[in-house]
Amino acid sequence: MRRKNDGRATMIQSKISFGALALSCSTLLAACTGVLGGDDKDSEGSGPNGGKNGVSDGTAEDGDSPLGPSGYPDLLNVSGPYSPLAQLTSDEYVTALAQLLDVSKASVEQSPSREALAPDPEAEGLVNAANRQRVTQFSISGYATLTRAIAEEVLAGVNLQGYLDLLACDELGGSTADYSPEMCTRDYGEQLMRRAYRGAFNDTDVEQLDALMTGIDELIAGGDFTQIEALKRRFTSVVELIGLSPKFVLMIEQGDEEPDSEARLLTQQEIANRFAFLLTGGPADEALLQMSEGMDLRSVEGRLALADELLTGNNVAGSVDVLVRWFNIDDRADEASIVKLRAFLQDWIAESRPFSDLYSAPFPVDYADGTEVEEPFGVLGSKAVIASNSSSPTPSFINRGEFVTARLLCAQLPEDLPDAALQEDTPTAREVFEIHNANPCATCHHIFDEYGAALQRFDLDTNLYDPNDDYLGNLFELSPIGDVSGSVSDPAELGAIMGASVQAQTCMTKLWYRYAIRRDLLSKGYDDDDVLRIADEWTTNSDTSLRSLLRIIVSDENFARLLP
Amino acid sequence: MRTTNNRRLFLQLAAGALTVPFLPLTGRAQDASGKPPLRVLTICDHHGLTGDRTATWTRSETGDYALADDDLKLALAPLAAHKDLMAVISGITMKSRQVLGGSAAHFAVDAQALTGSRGAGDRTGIVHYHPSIDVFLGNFLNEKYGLASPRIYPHVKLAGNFTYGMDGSYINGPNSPLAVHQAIFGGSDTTGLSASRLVLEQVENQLRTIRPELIQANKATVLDAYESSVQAVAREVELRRDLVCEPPTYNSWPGATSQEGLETYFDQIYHMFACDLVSSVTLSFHHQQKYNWLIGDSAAVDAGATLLNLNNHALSHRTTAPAGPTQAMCYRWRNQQLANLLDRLAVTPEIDGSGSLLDNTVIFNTASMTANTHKTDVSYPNFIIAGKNANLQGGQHIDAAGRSNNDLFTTVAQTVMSPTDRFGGFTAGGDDRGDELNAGPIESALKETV
Repeated sequence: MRRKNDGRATMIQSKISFGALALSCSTLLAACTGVLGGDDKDSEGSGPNGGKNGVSDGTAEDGDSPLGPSGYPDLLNVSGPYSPLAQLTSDEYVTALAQLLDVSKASVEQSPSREALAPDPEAEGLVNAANRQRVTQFSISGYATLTRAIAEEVLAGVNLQGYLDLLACDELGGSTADYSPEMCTRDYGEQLMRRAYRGAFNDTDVEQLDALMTGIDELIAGGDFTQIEALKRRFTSVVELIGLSPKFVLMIEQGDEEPDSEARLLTQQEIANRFAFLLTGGPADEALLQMSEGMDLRSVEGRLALADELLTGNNVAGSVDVLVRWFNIDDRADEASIVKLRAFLQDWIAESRPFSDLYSAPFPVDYADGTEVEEPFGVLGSKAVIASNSSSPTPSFINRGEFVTARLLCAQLPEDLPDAALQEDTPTAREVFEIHNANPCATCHHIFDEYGAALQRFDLDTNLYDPNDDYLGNLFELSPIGDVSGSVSDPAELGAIMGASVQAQTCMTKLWYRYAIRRDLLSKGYDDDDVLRIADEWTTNSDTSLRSLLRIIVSDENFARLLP
Repeated sequence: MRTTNNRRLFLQLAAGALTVPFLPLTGRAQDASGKPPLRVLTICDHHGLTGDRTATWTRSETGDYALADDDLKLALAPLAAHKDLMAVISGITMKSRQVLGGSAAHFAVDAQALTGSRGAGDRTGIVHYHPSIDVFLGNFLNEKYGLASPRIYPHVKLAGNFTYGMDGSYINGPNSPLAVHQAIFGGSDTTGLSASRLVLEQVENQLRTIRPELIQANKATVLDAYESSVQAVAREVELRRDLVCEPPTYNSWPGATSQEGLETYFDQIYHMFACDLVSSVTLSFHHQQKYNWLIGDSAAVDAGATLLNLNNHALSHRTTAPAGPTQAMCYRWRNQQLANLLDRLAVTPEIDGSGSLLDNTVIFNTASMTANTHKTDVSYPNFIIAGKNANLQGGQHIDAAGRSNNDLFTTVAQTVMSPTDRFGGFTAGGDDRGDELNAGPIESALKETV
């Protein structure tokens, strides 16, 4: 990535509109904090004290930070390079934990303690933006609760022999006569740590493991425990230690040996892990590490080779998950409709279908009369998508319109919304629609209402499709967003325009690029230039499948690089 | 300072009077200065109360007056038994938004609702430079005792919400009764807690070990947050280990927005306070919370609250009856739960016999929007209830017309004896414009200015 000379993100002059985002970006840049990913000494703006940013390097040894007028530390008193330290999302944490303990992800997901994990901060469909993540007291508490619970579930009902078999003590101890179950537990724990820490395991970890075992033994000695109870306590504590370890929770990437190098390439294993997290939602397992051994992932060719191996039919579930989250799918969508959506997306990805299919390929639409009809709506025909982006009884064309424009087309609302209020009770959606056409409502609503109106035939309450329901009218003039414009009357026409647009394709590029490098647009060191560069390559490629986009992203130098 | 003898007998609330002996040992109630262990519950609704509030809130929103029972209308009536501890404060507007600007959309005004500052960012995420008042108070109250300070948010997906930590970062809290239970009560046995403490010690060691290995300054900041979080949990574990306080049990875990779910939150808050697990709790409600279980309720029928099939967001977009009475019924139901909580706190003694839990509790009830959604120049409903050891002059209605939400926060801070004379007033860029918003606490609400 090429840093701008002054380190600030700039407004991108391009044919693609990202609206008022640049204003928000430059405002934020002036007040970046360490939690958000560092700051730039050159940026303007003042902190709460009125002083400049970048006063210290943000390390704990730096002495006291200046206090603001509230009496609390100056929040802007952090400087340094970008590259915020990412952490596993709750989903990635679950995947990694399941992998580690060799249990199904579903079993961890279904554990009541899954709820203990603090929800991920979400921004524009992304939950892995490092600059928004933060380990809090509730994160730590949640990790401890979940790992303890899963460890206990793994050991539930296990007797001593079962325990020894579970840990494969015979293999670990080489069938040595004096190899005790306690020693086996310790060695198994070391084995788990080596895998869990993704290459960062070292002698200090061994010392900490041994110190923990000693402490647990002293604790157990003071109580009335059977041998198997004591062993289970040891095991559970080791798993808890791993689950709380920053080496497990944080994505610590250090790159190559040259600290002064701007082109700080990641190591082979670090790149392999990036691949794994991007495409499978979890860390690289043994199979992936072995697969990648013969490929130099620091080269474009190597990364493309691995991408081609991974982007096969059976491996796209992780990518489906990303899109499902991007579409806001939540518990307003019934299970059957989610299954249908996932199947559509699985096919779209695995079969390398063109981008346009996402919004215009045949989709089995649920009709109000109980039938299912294939309509050329793409995901716009998905009951799961519609339901999750509707808000009965509030007129849903508003929510649906916001979803299409802001999420799928990356339009931005004006930052300063005027005070707005309905002057009269407006019981019908049609009346609301008409009122929104007048100021001051139109300032924002004209951007998205018509897009939502094109989806009017999905019932407000049931989200089922009735082709004859034109309660808002029969033709809607879309407010231009990039190259998306025109008059539409139904989801097919809307989907056709979106599917053929550079705007929609670039918006998807934004999602996947940010997901791949774990940043959102508000973080430093990343700006629209990179998205546009990659989008340009994708939109001008004859292959506009998601697979093609992901190949372009992983071959991009930023994917294999640690920002300075 | 807690000792190994510092046990609190968890008191089973029976119908009527409660006479359970307790050990007069040192605890939260006694710090070096002898000040009471104040605690605060912040309750925040998103949508305010629309329409003419003389029938739904208080008899009048103008002028200062002592509260009589029938001054508390539909929404506040359940709290009549505690009116002597209550200050209803009218006339506050969201001045921070009027002065500092920013979007009038829910996410942005929510962010201003408890921070009194303008955040930077968009609907998917707001960045702040000043903590929200509940966190500020939790930090003030916790700094002696190091207890947890959870913020309960049923609305999982609502980004850009209004609670921001001491460093301005958005705080996600537990968002279902089960999550609250696991986060706050832990549910682990004494040996398990001790084992966890050993684990946390090793995690701290690991953090100290890896720190020098990382080359980038801002990673140290992340590690600082990690380390402080681990330490906070470690303190929590130690304190829990010393408590004889059975976590509450429930037959099932209700959904976050169901009637049972909301009732459970209030029950959990009681237990958090009774077990001394928290000094500050925040409770808010789903942006689209419905109270449809009130359909057919006699009070709802009498009040003409006929829109209980709508969620609060939908209600707030309507300006005329029956929206107002319907919103008031929702408030009324919540205040009934609050009244129940206050009753329980009133009969639960402090550990040192200095009085009841209620004596040392402050309730701050506010909203993040005024009547008729997106209007921030219209006064919105607020009240504070505080026990006798807090710094509130109860039993009154206060006309605070012209005062800012920032002054309201300062007032709440002073209620728990925090020597705060201003709060918030920061721009999106972090500049301090507090002088334009802060005039100090609303003195008539306080016994004394701290």
